[in-house]
Amino acid sequence: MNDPRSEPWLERSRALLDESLHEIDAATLSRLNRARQAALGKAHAQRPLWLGLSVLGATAVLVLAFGLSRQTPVPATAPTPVVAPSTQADVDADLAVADPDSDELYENLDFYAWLAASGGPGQG
Amino acid sequence: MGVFVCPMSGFDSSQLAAPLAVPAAATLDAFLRGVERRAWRVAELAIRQRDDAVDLVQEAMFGFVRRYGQRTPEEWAPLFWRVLDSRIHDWHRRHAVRSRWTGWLGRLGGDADEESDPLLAVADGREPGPLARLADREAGAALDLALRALPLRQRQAFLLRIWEGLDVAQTATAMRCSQGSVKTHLSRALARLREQLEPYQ
Repeated sequence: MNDPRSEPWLERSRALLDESLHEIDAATLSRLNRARQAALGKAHAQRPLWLGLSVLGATAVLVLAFGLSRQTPVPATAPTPVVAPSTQADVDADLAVADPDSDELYENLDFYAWLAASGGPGQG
Repeated sequence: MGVFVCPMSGFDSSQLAAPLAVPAAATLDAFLRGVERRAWRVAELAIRQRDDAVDLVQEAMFGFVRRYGQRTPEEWAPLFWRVLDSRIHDWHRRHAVRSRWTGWLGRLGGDADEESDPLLAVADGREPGPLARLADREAGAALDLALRALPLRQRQAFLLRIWEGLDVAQTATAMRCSQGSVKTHLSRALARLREQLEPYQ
């Protein structure tokens, strides 16, 4: 089958469509330019996934450790808690299950890094 | 993997340094720069609203860079058009829902303000748009009209295959359908356009 693009009327159609690109107004071209730069800028602002996951993992471990250390002694007569992991961790469960693709995670990355460096809440 | 040469922008992936794990920003910028005007025209033909068309192209750029920016440049073209095609379909879905609601509310309201009628915001099909300002004014306007009159899938098949120069497989990727569907849509589009544009040939 012949290439449909080679038909004369289609070549003319392509030429007309190409010409129409030169008629796009300056305001639209400016907006397209800004859109492109914004898309590229956002891509550069994204940090590597492994960095986000590492910080998130370290934070989760610290929060869990903090929760365990803050467990109040249970009276001897009281039943032994069934749930060994901290209930404090539940508070921050959203951190542990945060979507690594989430923009929010990346936006708060500095905070998580600081939290990890300071040894968790109450220790820094 | 083949070499992608964009006939419109002159972007040639073979000129790049051998496969880059992280394509240089300049390369991605060059690709988007080369495709942005045609992307806007395709969106504008599909939704008939100039401002919204820019928004769709911007959303497509964001989505493309985020999801596919790390792919090899040879893969970019069909993937970019795929994202834009998806955004165009989303736009039509949103407006179909909105039109149903506004139509229903309009009937309840009786003499609703005409300015709230979304149909009034749709460009007049007889308004030829940018093509009308060409030297070959009549032919350009007729082509614009004929393209706008096509169903979305047929118009996308025509623009991606005939104007953008994607092959059948790439067009199928962009349109998220089989190669057979691409051929069917294109065949129907060509038949309708040939009939309507015959007086201008």
